Amino acid sequence: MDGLLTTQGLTDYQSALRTLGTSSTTDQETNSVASGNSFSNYLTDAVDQLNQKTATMDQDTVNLITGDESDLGNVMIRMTEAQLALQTAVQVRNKCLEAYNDVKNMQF
Amino acid sequence: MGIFNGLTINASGLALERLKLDTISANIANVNTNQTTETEAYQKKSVQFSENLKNSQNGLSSESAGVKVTGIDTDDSVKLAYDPTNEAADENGYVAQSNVDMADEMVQMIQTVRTYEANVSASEMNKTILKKALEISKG
Repeated sequence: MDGLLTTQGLTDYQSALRTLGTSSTTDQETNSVASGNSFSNYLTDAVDQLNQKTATMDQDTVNLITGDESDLGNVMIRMTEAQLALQTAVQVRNKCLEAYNDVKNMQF
Repeated sequence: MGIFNGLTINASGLALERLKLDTISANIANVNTNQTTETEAYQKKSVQFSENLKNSQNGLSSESAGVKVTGIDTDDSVKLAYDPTNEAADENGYVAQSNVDMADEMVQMIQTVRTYEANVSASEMNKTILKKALEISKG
């Protein structure tokens, strides 16, 4: 009796989940299709931001030498940001390559 | 601001301490700038600052974005010295002196440098945290 009740509850839960799941996945699919947010888009955005940080750092170095920028602390902080952004990019690249290699070396 | 929040907060602290040290330098440089016939005596400057609060999207909670300078105050207390032979002296023989106290400025200077060091240490730690996060599941 008890077991029967539990399975009934589980089935209800499953069907509820299914309706929820279908609605959310269709939403997500239409969303991603509409805005075109694929993995490569995210990657391009991230690389763009990284590029911007590096360019800022470059400009800061020039400004510091020419005397336009006098706050060494700020420049160092921005350099650190650029450095960490680059290191993060390298880590992401490592992970991507790792995943690619895992798929490539898959045995059938 | 994202993941570099901590770094930018400390950057504002570093900028403030630098401005404070510049002000202290000006005070010390003018410790003997007394009244002359053409110019007034030097008046001690100090930096005023407050927390830089940044309102978040919902407008209810505000998070700190570090510190911001609100202005530079001038101490307008007058320090007179009796010097009747000075050509800048008033009818009673008093000349206005620079109101900078060297000992005060030295203490301020040490405090400023220590605070700057603390900010540097904090930003180093922020960097260490981010670097450590990059090491997660490495290899």
